[in-house]
Amino acid sequence: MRLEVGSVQVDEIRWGPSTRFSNGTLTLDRDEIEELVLQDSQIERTRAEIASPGDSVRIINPNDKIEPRVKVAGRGVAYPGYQGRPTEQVGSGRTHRMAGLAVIDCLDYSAAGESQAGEDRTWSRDEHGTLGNDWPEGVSPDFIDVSGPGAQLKPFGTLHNLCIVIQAPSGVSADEQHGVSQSAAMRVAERIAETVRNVQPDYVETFDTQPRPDLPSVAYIPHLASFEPQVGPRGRFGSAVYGQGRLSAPWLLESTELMDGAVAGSGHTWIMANNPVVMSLARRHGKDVNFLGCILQRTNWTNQREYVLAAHRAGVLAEKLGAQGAIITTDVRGQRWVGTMLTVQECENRGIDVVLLTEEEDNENGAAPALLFAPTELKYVVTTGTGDVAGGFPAVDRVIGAIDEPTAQWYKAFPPLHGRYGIAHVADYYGYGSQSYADY
Amino acid sequence: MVSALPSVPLTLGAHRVVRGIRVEHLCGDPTLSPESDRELMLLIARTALRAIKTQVQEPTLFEREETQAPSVHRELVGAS
Repeated sequence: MRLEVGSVQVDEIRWGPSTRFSNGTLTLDRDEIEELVLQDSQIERTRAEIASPGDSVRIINPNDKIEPRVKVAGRGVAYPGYQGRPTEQVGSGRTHRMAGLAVIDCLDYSAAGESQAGEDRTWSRDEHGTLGNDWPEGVSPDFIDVSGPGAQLKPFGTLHNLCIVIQAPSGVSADEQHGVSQSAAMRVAERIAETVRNVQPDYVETFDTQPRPDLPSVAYIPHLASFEPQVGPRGRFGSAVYGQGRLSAPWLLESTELMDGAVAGSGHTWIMANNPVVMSLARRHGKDVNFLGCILQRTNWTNQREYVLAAHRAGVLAEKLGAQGAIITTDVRGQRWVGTMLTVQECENRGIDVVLLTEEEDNENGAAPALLFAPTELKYVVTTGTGDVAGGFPAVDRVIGAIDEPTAQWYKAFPPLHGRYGIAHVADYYGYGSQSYADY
Repeated sequence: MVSALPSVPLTLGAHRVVRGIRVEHLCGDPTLSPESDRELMLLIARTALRAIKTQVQEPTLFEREETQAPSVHRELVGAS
């Protein structure tokens, strides 16, 4: 497949009388954006806000993050299958992306309550306090600072962010709330992406996936948690492949399909469309590697035998593709880690050299094992860092992400963070942060 | 220790590990009839008792002896 990706750089974002893009400046009609969100009658209240790098702003309740992209030539739509979008195969033709921009839906549950007992726990809404005693009460670890030391750890701290604050509808499941919220964010992202359909991009990269068997052959095997055990096979929450979030045998996708957003959902959308592993291998394809494509391995199987089966199937695919090497990443640690390690083991046993890319687990001051489970076949590991925020988080002037005024705690300075496992402030599985392998 | 993912406790040095059913239903299977679910639960409990009476030199995995009704084999294929 052959895909041209045209990057249009967004240098500034501001409110104005109409939604348009010109000379690096994205002007947004706030009323139009909010009306787009309110098209869904389940959403009663919303507010659009802007957070740009260097602003004294903290974004709370972030859900998905979407980079506006539009297909200008070739089959399908950007982010195929996402919350019911068309599922035609993507990855060829031409796509325009808005570099430096993210649309973030901030889903405020505070007024909704539980639609069934235990929902808050299932969806980690009761994570308050997991950061330790020196953190203010009522603060959860999942927030984004766009200034200060914390801004360097996530890509969104360095982007212009259009935040769509949404009051979660009451009386429906958490899964449906996510679906409603993500659909709204995608309506907005699609509208904004239209402004660059006919814009000359700042630069264009061309990716051709034509096999080059004369070069060393490498596959990429990301592990992606499925939320089927929590939300069923048709659930709307979690990372999905062409909209399918269910537990399944591994999927084989071309790198260009990921660039068109074929893997998306629940916080993964921006990251998977810009996945540094995919982009690096795709850029080197035909130069010094033969990038075979992506074997997407689902996790959240419910026992070891299921994980063993999944690992075997990924190994069979990699071997049949002719992989000599594989880069493997994990996702949502815990039991998912076992599945990741079994895939490593399986590939190595089939003679495929594996490099594991992972964050470090050091939150117990060295008392816990560095890796929960590591078979002897695991030979090469590259770190994406510890997730430490040494300098802490300065107090902020503005907090975005709550429909009504958030508690005063959210404006405060937060102490330094040590470690990342279980804290979920930073989850850098792919090396996009400033602590990634690029620094080592 | 009863675990659906025995690799973890075995790595961490648990002496005796009994294979459980699933992460979310360790000692039973709610997709079975109440009678079969109870049989399965008892089978795991008996395996755990057998394990605790057995001398071990290293972390050891105990499989349950599936001599009961065929329904317990569902664990092998049970994608939930």
